[in-house]
Amino acid sequence: MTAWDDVRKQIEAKSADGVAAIVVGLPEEDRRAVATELPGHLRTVLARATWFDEYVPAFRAAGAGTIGGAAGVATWLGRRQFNMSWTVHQDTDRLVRVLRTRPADWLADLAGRLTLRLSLPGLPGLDLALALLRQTGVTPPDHDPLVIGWARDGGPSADDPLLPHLLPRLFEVDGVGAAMESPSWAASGPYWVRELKRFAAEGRVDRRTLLDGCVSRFLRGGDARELRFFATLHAELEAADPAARRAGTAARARDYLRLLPAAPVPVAELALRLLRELDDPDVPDPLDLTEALDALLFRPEAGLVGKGLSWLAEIVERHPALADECAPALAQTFAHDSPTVRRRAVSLALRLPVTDPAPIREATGLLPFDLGQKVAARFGGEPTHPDPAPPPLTPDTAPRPTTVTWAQPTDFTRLLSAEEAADLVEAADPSWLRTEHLLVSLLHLARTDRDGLREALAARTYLDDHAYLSRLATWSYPYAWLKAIVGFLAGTRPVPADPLARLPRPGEAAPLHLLLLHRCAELLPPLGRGVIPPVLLATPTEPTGHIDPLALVERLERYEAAGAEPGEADLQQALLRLPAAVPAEAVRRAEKLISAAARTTARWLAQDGPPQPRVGTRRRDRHVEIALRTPATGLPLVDGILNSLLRGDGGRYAWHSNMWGMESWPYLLPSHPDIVAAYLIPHLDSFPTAIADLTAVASSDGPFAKVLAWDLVTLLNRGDRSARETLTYLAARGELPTALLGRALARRARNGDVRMSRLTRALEDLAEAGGYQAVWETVAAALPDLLPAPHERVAASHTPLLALGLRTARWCEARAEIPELAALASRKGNSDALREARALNEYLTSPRPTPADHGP
Amino acid sequence: MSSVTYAYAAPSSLTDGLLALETSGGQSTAGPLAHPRFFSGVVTEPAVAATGLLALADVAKARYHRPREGGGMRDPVVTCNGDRLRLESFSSCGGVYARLDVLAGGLDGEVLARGTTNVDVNGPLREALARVGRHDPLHLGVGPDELTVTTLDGAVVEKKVPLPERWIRGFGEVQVIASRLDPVAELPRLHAARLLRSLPRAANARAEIPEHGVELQGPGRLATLHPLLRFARSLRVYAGRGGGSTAWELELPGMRYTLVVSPRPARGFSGEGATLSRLAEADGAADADLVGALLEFDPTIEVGDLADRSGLSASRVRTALTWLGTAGRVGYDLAEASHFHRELPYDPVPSPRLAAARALVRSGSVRVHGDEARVTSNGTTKRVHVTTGECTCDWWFDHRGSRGPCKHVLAARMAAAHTGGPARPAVPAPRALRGRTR
Repeated sequence: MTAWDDVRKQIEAKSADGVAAIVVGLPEEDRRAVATELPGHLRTVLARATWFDEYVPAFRAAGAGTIGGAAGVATWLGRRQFNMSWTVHQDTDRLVRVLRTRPADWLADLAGRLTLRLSLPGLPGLDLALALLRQTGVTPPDHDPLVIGWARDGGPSADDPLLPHLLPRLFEVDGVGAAMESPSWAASGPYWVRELKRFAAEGRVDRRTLLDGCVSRFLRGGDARELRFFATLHAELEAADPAARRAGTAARARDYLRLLPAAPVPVAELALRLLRELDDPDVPDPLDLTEALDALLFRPEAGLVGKGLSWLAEIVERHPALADECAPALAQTFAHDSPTVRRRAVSLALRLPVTDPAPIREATGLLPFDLGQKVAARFGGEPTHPDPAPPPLTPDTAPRPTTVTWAQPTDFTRLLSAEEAADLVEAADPSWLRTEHLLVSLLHLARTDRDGLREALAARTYLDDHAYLSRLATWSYPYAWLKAIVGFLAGTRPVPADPLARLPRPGEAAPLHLLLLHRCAELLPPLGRGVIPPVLLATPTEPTGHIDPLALVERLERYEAAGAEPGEADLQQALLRLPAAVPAEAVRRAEKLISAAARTTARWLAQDGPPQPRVGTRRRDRHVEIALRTPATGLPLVDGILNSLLRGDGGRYAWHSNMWGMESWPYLLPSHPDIVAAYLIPHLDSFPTAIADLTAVASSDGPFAKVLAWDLVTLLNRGDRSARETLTYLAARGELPTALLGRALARRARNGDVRMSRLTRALEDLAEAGGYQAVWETVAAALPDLLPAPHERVAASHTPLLALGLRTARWCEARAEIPELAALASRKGNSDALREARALNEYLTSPRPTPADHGP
Repeated sequence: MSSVTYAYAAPSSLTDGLLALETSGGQSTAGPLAHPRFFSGVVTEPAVAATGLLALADVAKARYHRPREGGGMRDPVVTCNGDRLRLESFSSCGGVYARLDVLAGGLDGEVLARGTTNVDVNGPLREALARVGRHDPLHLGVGPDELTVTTLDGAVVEKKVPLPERWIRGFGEVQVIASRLDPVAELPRLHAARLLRSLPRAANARAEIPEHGVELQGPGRLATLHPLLRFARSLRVYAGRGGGSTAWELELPGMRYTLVVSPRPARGFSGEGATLSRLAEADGAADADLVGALLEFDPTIEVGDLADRSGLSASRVRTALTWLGTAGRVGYDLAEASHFHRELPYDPVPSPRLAAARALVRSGSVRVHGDEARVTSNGTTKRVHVTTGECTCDWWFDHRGSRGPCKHVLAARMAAAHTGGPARPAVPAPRALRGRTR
């Protein structure tokens, strides 16, 4: 039995220890023989093993023990199959045992090679590399992943031979700080900090070297996650004795100064804390000092800037001569976002012993009026205006926002020529209004110039899909019907037998869509009989889509004179297009007619305006569901439209039928704008529609005001341009449903589905554009629901809204009692939100100025 | 993946107020050099220049879509255009391009040569740069000083980093994309600070600035603007029509810092296909060679002047500039609205889409009938509308021209140009192929 047979048997048994026991004692030539067989056997096992990972330790031990060169062993151990992402090696001790028979320089070579193979993020092979490096005592190669692995490996020990080599590198390699805090590993950071502090105390490592390392790491940059570990280490290593600490800080004062402008907050705070302890007037250099102060006070973080202001106060107190140099840095904080910072800056500026007040005076304009006044009183300069109310919005200053869905009106008095009609058919799938225009024109041409029409249509090549159409059981688009009509008029196709059978059944298509299909379909049977309708009842006479009642009665008279009955869909569409106001003459003339269509029309005209459905809305998840209910009229298509349950997912109807012809809806239902809105609302989110489409048809105090308010909040939160325009437009007309908008805003902010900052910004813009009355009403309506209940904390995000409330309340001289606001204002505390709440409450409950207060 | 080895005569350093930026091999007016010397003199705004350099280094290191994974850092590229120095870097993720232009007002010294090369940036240099204050005098040498050259033979610093092809392509294409952006806003310092600080920081956040019509995904990629804000006079924002890439330019004392940001963090500039249509034009390569030979590291390139000197029409010069941009031979300066000459020290990589299109034409898989072409690839035949650039392939169906033409359209246009077919219109209309949508 050869050595290879023994080894193979152990591999088959998945016994890594068995393999190790054999290979350690093998003579040189047997080792070579085994090494030669290994790759082939690996392939065999890989091909048949279902769970190869069980063989990995045995293979690794076999390779480590037998392969001749260090490079070969490194390659073998680093094979991809041995280092899958899920592999966890626990064979370091065994491999070290197996490798112990090798010469020292060979092992050192292997240790170096294994180290250079380390790669992030997993660092497979780290354990063995560290073990061999420690065992051989060789200088580890320069390889960043090793340093990160060493950092992750648990923490330093005083007798680690790697410590002198790798400790300096700890401060140079990117990713060490993050590795120390990485939550996926037992975070080794705290242990490192404790041990390094102990080493420094015991004198094993130079404390100053460590501190210098931290500072140079800070200067090299990185985010808070990367640098937090070093900040903690630095803080722990600082001398406890203040004098010694100050000496250390003074030696690195310039470095600390340079960290103030841009370092992450924990680092900048550390640097600032140390610098504030210094008491030597010449350290740091005043020029460097003011530069750093300038940059520090420009930072956005209010906490840090606050500490910076305290520092500035200390500096000036200690060295009054520096007041002038510090003034520009102080002045720029007047523009800081935080009201607290601004207030502190002003109170500091008022105490500043400057000889040249120019920098502060010039910055006065950056402050809000009340603060600006204080500064101006001491230093002169122009405070901002006392925030006068902008000129109020008027309807003519806010143009109607552009709609994206609705079609432009069509002029039905101008009929198409044969050529134009043919062009339009060829253009394929025109909008419904254009299709309707086309139908009217085609019928007119068929009556007046049949041959010319036939010629124009026949010259085109678009009639080739009749075969396709005739195979379809249902014609779901008006275009299919139009093709059948055109095919007949062009003389190329007969009217199909029983055309109305191809209409979708009432439940299959959305009610408005069904109306359009019926209007097309009902033209085919008379055409097949050679009858061309004298006129289409439903053709609008007004740009809005309305029909003049007298015109409709005239058309009915023509039908009666011709002895024909109009199409049912044509009649029902015509009725839906009648305006609310009907002249008495129209009713009188209609009542004289005897046809069924005329009698229906007379009944419709005699009622008190068109039937108006009751509307119910409710919100399901994020969708709105709308129910329309009307007493039955006996007209199936009308009843279908006015009694409907409308949902965002289309409900039971084929989805395409929910929005085909959408652009023409306002012209189908010109007397029912709220119904158009009802049909649109479910699609506001899913189709490229705009909120302006809704406001163009629905009244803002109608049944959908609540939906409108809700959607406005959604869209303003999204930064939607149409929503901002709509807001301004409605406010300018005094039509903004402010109470509903305020409540929707409060509810949605509480749910956390909108960002207060965005909505506040939109309202701010509206107020500044002159719509402050509407903004104040909205804010006032929002506050009761929005403000925290007694047990809740007040959110900082409410501060800007409260401030906006105060501004707009002042502009409209509003007074009000809002109990929730009063409760908040009476709380103890000093936060910005509380301050704003108090200011607003104080204003709202103050007595109205009498005319005499305004002065002469 | 190929890799690049930078070889420097010494590490870049900053000692005693001398900032010595060491150079690796590059092109210059004197031809290719191992360690070109471009400039020696004084930087008038030391703190701004140092902060700008650090910002560039941060961009080079960053992988914005996966911030927790480091990428190999490719050293910044410096170009001396005579009156100014331009330092460029390109993020590891290939979606952010940064350039610091140190203008004539920011420099006081001697221009030794014009050209382009890499400069070494290393840890100790970063540390030293962070120490530079406004009042510290700063001498700048780009390229080794005489002493280094005479005492050190060859390279002592070698850095090998992976060099993905898409990275090189993106570096070229970003110039062409930048040349199509228009200014949309200019904000003074305080307003700029307020705007940038109000943007969300998360890697996958989306920010919209409705008042300027700008939409930005991954606004965290603007992070390197923040440390420079305190020096800035103003911020200019550039955007393309219909969204997409944006550019952000800080006007600084004596210099300008520009960031060009791709539409999405996970979407680099390569693969945007902005250049492909022009690259597919037949005479492009020859024109580019001709125009390229006329460039002399000029700070701005006048199309009219080049047209006069080359005898080509202005439009062919522009096509040639697109070629040169993709090959890394010209950059685009938004503030000047002009190209500038620089030779990226990397070998240009042809676009795989263009290469695939050429292969289709060569293998005779394209048949052109008037305005329609049939392109056979992978066993299926695609119909291509040559003029509008529409195709029936899945890729076109997904992107609708938003990432440039597909390989079938490119191949069809090449073949059509060859057979004298219809000319390409100036703006291809992205419209659905009829019959495909319904």
